[in-house]
Amino acid sequence: MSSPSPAASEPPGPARLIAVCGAGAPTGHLTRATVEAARSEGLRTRVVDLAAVDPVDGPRDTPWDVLTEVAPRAAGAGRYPLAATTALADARVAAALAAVADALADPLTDLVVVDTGDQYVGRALLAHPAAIVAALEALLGPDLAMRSSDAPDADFPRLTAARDVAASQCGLLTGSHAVWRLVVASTGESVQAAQDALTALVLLGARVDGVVLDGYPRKQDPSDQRRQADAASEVLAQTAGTAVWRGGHGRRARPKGGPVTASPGPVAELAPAEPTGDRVAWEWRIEMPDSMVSSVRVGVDGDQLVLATGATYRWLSLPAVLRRTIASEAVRGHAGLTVRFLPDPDTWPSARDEGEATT
Amino acid sequence: MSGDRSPWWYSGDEQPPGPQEPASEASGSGAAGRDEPAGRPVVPDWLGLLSGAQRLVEWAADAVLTPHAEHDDPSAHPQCLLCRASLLLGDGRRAGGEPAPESDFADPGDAGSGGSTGSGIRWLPIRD
Repeated sequence: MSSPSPAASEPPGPARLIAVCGAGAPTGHLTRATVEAARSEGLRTRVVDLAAVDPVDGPRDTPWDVLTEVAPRAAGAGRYPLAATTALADARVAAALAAVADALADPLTDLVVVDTGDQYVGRALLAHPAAIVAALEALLGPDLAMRSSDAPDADFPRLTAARDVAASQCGLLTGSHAVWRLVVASTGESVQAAQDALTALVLLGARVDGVVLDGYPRKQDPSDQRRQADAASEVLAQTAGTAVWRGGHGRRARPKGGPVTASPGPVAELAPAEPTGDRVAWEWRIEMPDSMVSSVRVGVDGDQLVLATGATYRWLSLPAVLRRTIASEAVRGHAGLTVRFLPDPDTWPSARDEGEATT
Repeated sequence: MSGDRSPWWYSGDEQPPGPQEPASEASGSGAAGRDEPAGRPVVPDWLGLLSGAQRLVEWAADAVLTPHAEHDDPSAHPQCLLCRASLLLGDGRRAGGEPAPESDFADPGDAGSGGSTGSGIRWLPIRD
């Protein structure tokens, strides 16, 4: 995320990928409506349904496959005892990522619709490639290079190739071409679930351009249900930092007007700005939706800024200038956090000189 | 609770089985939890063992895989087998973040260090 942009921004153009993700509500209605709308607009559309992805029949040699096959040898173990179990969950995510990459690379496909089902699967899709890159890079050491021959199927070149593939997958679902739509239930309890899911998705890099209240009560439905849904809709509209609309069976894929690939309102995303400061103090502003500002923790880990909510973590590389500073505190503000830094006297000679001069 | 109404998983009330429930009929997984009379020879029940093993696998899938799907940061879940495996495999600290910087060779010490997997985070005070 190198270019600064506001937390709630208009997308640069029509989306090429729409990910539908649920938090306590089914995603099928919105997925079907999205596909139907896209096709009625003449878009050649492909659907990647996570529930239908079969890792057994899926692509071979995904980065995950290579990792689980080579890691035991690279680590000097004869057998990786957990491979059989870990493969079940992560192989499906790996196969889905390969399918998404394949669909996006297809020149005959205008729009890829990814139905992640539950939000935890969506979060796994977002986090998986970076985790695999990190694990593969940890293995790609000189020892392995020395032990590996030059044959194309040797461990080192295989791991290198798998690392490159995984790295290329890191932006599949987070680039400017992709938007996420979060489906929640139309109840009062869904507000918190929506905010938690939105926070986690945005923290992981997703650009969320809509929160859809599934099964929104119609006029003939009991009035208390309707009141609950109206209240939830109102709260979310004020805090989510993105569009909120009614979904469910027979409802539109997006509010009235405009193509299905255009975001109907602002996009909720994490947007670090350029750091500002001088020899005395520096600030780095991270813009994000209001709803997540209060639930995000901030820390530093070496040259990384750590943002966390619950068990979801995001590591952002500190801009070069801030690597010579010491983070002191974070300040919550409107639609974002500002992290404050003080020059490190050990690595910022002018600060040291100035400090000596003033004392 | 009378003997004929006891659920299959009920372990008994420390009394010998009644006439309608002879201990010698105990077999299969349905009797797995019942008290066996002392001194009774134990005969392996292969079908029962197989069924038990299958349940163990199902339990493992439910108890390990399902919770692990929600674990974004392996370092935050040291009790999870899969997270621990991820940490052993390498640096899982970026599991929820951006890719590691490009490099031809990683520091071999990184693979096993694990020290950077979350434990090195210095949390900042946050004020409104």
